[in-house]
Amino acid sequence: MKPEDLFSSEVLLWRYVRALACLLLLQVVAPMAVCNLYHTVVAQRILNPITVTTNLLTSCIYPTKLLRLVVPAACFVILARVHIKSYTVSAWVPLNRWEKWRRVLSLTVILRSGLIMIACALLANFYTSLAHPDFPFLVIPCTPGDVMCYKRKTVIIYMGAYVGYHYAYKYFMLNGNLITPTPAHPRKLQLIKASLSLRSTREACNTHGANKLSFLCAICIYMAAAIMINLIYDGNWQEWLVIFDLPLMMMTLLATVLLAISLSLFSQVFHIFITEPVEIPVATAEDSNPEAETDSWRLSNALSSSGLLQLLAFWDLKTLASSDPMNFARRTQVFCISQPGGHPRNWMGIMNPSMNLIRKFCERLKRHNCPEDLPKPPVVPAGAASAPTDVNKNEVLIMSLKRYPFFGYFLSDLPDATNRSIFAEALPVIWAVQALGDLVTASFTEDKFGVVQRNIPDILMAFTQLQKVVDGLGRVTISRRPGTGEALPSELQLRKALRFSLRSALYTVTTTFGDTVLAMPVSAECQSKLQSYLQFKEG
Amino acid sequence: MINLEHLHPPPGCGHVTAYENDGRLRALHVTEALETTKKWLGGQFIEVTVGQEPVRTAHSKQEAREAFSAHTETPWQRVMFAYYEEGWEASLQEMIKGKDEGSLYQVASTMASVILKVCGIIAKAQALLPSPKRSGSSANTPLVLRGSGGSIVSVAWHPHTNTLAAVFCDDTVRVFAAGRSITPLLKHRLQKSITHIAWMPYSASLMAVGCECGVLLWTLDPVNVVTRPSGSCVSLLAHPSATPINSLTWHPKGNLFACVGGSNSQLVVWDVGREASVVVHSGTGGNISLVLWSPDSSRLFVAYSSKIMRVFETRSWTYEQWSLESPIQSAVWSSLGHLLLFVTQDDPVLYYLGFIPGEGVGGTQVAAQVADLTQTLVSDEDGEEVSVGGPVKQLAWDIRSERLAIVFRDTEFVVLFHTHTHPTLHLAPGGLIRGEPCQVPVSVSFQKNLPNGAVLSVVWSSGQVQHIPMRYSSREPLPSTLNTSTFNTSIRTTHNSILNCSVPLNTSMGYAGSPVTSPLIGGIFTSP
Repeated sequence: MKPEDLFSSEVLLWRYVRALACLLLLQVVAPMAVCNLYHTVVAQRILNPITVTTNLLTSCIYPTKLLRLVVPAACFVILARVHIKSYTVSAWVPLNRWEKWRRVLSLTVILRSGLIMIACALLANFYTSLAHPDFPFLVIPCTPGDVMCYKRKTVIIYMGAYVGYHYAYKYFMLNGNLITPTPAHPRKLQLIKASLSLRSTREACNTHGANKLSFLCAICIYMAAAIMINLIYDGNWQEWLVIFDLPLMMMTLLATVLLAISLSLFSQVFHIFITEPVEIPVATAEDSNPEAETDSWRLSNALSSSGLLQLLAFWDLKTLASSDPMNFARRTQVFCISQPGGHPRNWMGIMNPSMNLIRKFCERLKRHNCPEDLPKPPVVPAGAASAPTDVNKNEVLIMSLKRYPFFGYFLSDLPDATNRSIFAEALPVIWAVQALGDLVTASFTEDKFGVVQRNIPDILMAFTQLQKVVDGLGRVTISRRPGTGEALPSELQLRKALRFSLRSALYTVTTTFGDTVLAMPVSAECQSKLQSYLQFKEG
Repeated sequence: MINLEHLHPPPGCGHVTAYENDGRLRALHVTEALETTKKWLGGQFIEVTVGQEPVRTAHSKQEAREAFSAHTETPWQRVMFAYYEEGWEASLQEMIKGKDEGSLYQVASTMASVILKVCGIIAKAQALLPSPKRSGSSANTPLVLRGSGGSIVSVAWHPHTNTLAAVFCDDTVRVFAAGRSITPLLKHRLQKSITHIAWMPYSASLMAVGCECGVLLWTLDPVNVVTRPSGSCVSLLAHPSATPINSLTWHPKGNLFACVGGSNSQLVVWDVGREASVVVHSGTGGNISLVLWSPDSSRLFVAYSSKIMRVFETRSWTYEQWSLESPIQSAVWSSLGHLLLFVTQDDPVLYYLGFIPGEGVGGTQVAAQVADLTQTLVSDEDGEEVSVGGPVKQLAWDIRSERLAIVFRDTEFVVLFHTHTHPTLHLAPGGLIRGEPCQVPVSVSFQKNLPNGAVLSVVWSSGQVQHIPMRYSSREPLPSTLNTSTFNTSIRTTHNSILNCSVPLNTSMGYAGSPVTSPLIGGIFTSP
């Protein structure tokens, strides 16, 4: 079985299930309590604390309301399904406006946004139906003659759909679906507790459209609509009172806030469960026969995979490589040699995928920014030249279309888009750099057989080369003043982080090895770089 | 247990401790002392000087408006101006100030005073609730206030180079490097009430400054010759749960730092490269005054302003808690990260806590007393009686854990102990460090990049920074050269740890159950 399949069937699946269970517990119990409290205190005007508490308890086990729990559960299953299908580990950077529009109009995005909107509308209706007797549940028909009932239902559902749309837009278009592990991994309960704090709740309301401005706009629009309808349908003056429907305003407020909190909690809890670190064994029992190792569940295979598994594998490698004495036993496995044979199989299994990743990343950057530095590709034999001409035809067509202002608007490249899209995938590279730097440093004292020694020059050369390319791009162009609170887009932040970790890794190695690094067989350029690192002149 | 009477007598008044040689501190006259230090340190000597411009403390700034004379606006205009400039609260106050302006104004004034009183009551009620907005009341005092009048209040040595950052009382930081005449001045509008500065390990150029608005990260290009780095060299890392900063500590490998602040007990860890943060612990215990990452990166010490301290393991961030008789004042990790020395605010006693490697935190159940620092009278070399010891202000341990310096709150001598930590902790008397007459030590810091020996930098209350070179041959292994596996087994056999213990220290303070019993008593007078 491939490591990816193993990971998704044995690790990820259970994470999804646990996340969903946790969410249902958190989100159905908590909002229900709030709504019931409102129902008892405001709608029924009961202020006696004992009655309020007993009401709260009895209404929770009331059969019709229990039956209604099916609705939020279904909504959360829909939301979870959408989230499971569409999360990503690297930010999406559109190269031009056409790509942006293509994504907005793509069938999957529309379908998934629609699902989110439906779930949100249902949830909003569910919350209000719990809170107020005049706001019936969707499936319960309005009593004939009750004009307000239908209006209220519609307004709440539209409002829910709007919040859902707002969330879906952020999720699909502004990289809301990006999943990155946090810098440290405390227990999940701790993280969930932090995301439940008052401050993050307020933040969630502001980001998901439940802020003061939205309410003001909603009230204005609602009033305007009410006046228009009354004018058009020639209602009598009493119907004008509709515009001062206080319960509706209150319910809109309550439902929006609850929905915003629900959605934010949903994405946070999902994120917490999915990005939980996983410990992957460095070596397994069947290591002795080299034929069986291509597909087994071990670190080297996980490192060469892709997506979330690769990210978590590099996180695991980084943890393993850190100086923490708790990881001493695992590091010993990396530095050991096979019996019999004496091959540094574990080290090579770790080094090769990491170095491949770093080299490929460096090459991609070079290809885009300084193609003249790349080694020349071998000359293509004459018979196999048909495919490139097709590509060329497409390119010529696009180039000619770009000249027209209308197409040019859509097809012209956005500033620095290619580099940004490359850096969006830099997170595993950053961790690979940190891990290799730490492993080389650890090898100074822990590597008994000298398995790392032979590869140190290669590693240092790869680091300095990558650093040269990254530094060659110049500084991050978007400047921001400290204290203004705006964050850089994730890909630019990763670019900074890559520069940062390369420097840090090189300093770690040079500080540990001292002047010995100068005796290593590296290129002259790398040597002069190492020299300046030894003198602490690289800033 | 070692006490201050075991120390050699301090130098007489008028003499200044200049250096340590052959295990003894030597004192010389003021001018000779400086010359000798310069001679000893040669090209590595860093003279920390205050520039030509006068340094004003950041906390005695006067309001500019007080310099202006009387005004001619009508009271209503004044109220409007106050509203524009400082908000509605100031305008209400302005309204109360004006008297005899007519009946309408009188009514408005009375209403304003009523509103202000109600606001005051609400504010008082809010102060009773735990709120993150409340700051300053119980937070750590900024470095400026901890100093005693001098222009320099604290210094921080770079972990790998001969560079020293000095915090000035006007909330600026200057960076001094050996052999360089340029001393960059770090000044920023957000850099107010500095509480902590720390250089990032394994980097030439990054320094974190913890202040009121969060952590300011300065990137100082080591080959740049700019004397006043611009605002583009700074980035602000602020987490709402940790502002204003009380304390911060770097992960020993760089890349991460932990910070605490405000009046809540949340522990925030930042990834510096990605500028991403996570709250790794939020619980009860009052506000946190101190965090310290152990040099082997596996543990994080956290001191609360209430009478508890916790040590977290940094894998899944679980902790062990110890209760104390009074809050922690200062603490230091040993170079290998298996020992923690700490002092509390009220008891003049140095405590020790041991840790065993393995799963979890693995701390010993009870802290042991290793040195009695009670204030005592000793006679100096001139025969005059001087008082030493008392409540401790700061502990500083050198990078190889061979010299321990202790600064006291009320007495003017820095106490120096010779220590070694492997295989067990030993303390031996080192001596008493004296400055110029009437000078009190404000803070101390050991230079970190020396291959052997040590240099202690003492900031005196005059704002002067004195370097005291100490020449001795190091016997402690460097953290990186010790084989962890042998270390594991040698200690693991001696005890079994009890996880999540919460034993009050006052019940059985002493050596019960502590691994340091015999070597300490036997080793008090052995020179390490």
